[in-house]
Amino acid sequence: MSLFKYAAPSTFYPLAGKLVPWFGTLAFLLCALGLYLGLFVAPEDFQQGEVYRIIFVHVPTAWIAMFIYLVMAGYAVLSLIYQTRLSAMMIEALAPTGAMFTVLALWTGALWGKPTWGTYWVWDARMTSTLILLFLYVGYIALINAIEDKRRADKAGALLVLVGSVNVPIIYFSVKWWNTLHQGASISVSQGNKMATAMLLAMLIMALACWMYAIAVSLCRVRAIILTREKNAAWVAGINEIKGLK
Amino acid sequence: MNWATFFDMGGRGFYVWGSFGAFMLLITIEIILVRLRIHRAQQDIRDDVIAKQIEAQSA
Amino acid sequence: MTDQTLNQPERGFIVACQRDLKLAMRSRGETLQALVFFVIVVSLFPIAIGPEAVILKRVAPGVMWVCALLAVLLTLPRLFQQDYADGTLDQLALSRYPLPFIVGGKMMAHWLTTGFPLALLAPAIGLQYGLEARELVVLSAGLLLGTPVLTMLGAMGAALTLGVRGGAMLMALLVLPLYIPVLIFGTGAVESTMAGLDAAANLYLLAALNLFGIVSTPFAVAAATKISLD
Repeated sequence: MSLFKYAAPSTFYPLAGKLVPWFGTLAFLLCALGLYLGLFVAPEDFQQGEVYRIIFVHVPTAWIAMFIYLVMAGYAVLSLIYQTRLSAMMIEALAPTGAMFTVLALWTGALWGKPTWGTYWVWDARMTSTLILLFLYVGYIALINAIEDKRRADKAGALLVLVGSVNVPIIYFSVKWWNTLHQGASISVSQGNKMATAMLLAMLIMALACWMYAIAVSLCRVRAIILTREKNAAWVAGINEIKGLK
Repeated sequence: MNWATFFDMGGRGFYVWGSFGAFMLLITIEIILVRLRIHRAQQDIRDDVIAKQIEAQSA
Repeated sequence: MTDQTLNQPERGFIVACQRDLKLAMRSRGETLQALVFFVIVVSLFPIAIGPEAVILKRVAPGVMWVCALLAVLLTLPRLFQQDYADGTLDQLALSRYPLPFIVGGKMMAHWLTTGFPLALLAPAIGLQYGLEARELVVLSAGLLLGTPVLTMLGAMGAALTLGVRGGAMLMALLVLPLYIPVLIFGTGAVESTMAGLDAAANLYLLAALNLFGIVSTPFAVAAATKISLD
């Protein structure tokens, strides 16, 4: 299997190094384009006015926050079945970025909520589930940092992410159920009904930018993790950044 | 296009720029932290290599 | 013991369950502490928010469930900690019985000594909050169906954090978010009864979580235990 060749940290490290600038540049260009479309081209919303523009950072960050957890669950399966160290390192590299996007989704959600609903925080199903998602990220990060034996931390972390991902749909459903029980139909975020093409396009481009950014930054972080863990491996002395010394 | 009205965002500038600002700020911070982390990891290994070279010379 | 009985994997469940129950009986005081904790914390709320009957009744389901959840959480380290420290857990993992059955037995014993008495005790405490007979029955039924899930998910957290520094706090951090569905359906059952609606839907959902936990968590907890023992 040729793909498994790249599952070795020694081959993945230089590969990731080559990929980071590409994804980084792509993220930067897409972000610039998305912000331009969102702030200058997209028309004012006839109901909410200018403040709706928060959607261009809120929705993409919320999407990516959930998506990163899914990707982590995918790596968790790989890590537990094939015992590849790299998969566990990828989970570790993705988690902080996922947590950051979750915080951004909550923060922008609160800033959007104040002018439109009158409060910074409403216990609506989506906000509450996103908060719980943040708890899951924090739990994972806390667990792998608390376990000193790296091999055990890898496996325990992967199992936790897997259990968490099985629970995410249950949590989401239960929170929705709880929400309808307690609030009835008081708040509905109906942004999807009549969205101008420019708005939709700006939102999708921003989501793509966040995605590319997440790839770039987690690849960069996984390189740091690989170096720290493989410090004493023979191949490390041969990489470009170190070779210059000899 | 008038820049003052653009930044005012229909009186809701605080919320809009608070969101976009936090987005930019956190991403910038994360990029800086990740770069620091990889530089530190590389520096650690360089230190090790140098230490070994010195050891080899003195031996 | 004949060889035939040894070949039945479900014996592992019974053996582990009996052993933990015996240990719990020997340290009865410790087992009772969780119940006393539950009673005390539930009684703190009226003191903190005032004895007004309407408010107390409104918060009763939430308070009772959160207190039950915390009481279970406090007992979770007991599940594996002792056996881990003295090496029994290693022996159990190497025994002829499959590990999922053994941890299943341990979880059963844990529930019988925490969740089960809590569910029986809760109606008596619920009287302090002015809950009526029907509501008390639903509360108790909800706890009977829901506390096993708390034990099962908690066992997961307990197994993952075995021997980790600051493990108890970390475990709470891992487990509490996963407890949210149980909390929602458990309180929902009592609240819908209070609103004059049928509690069945919430109780069915709790039962579904329970069944899902029974078929899945023993394997996950066994895997987590193996990871921690490596």
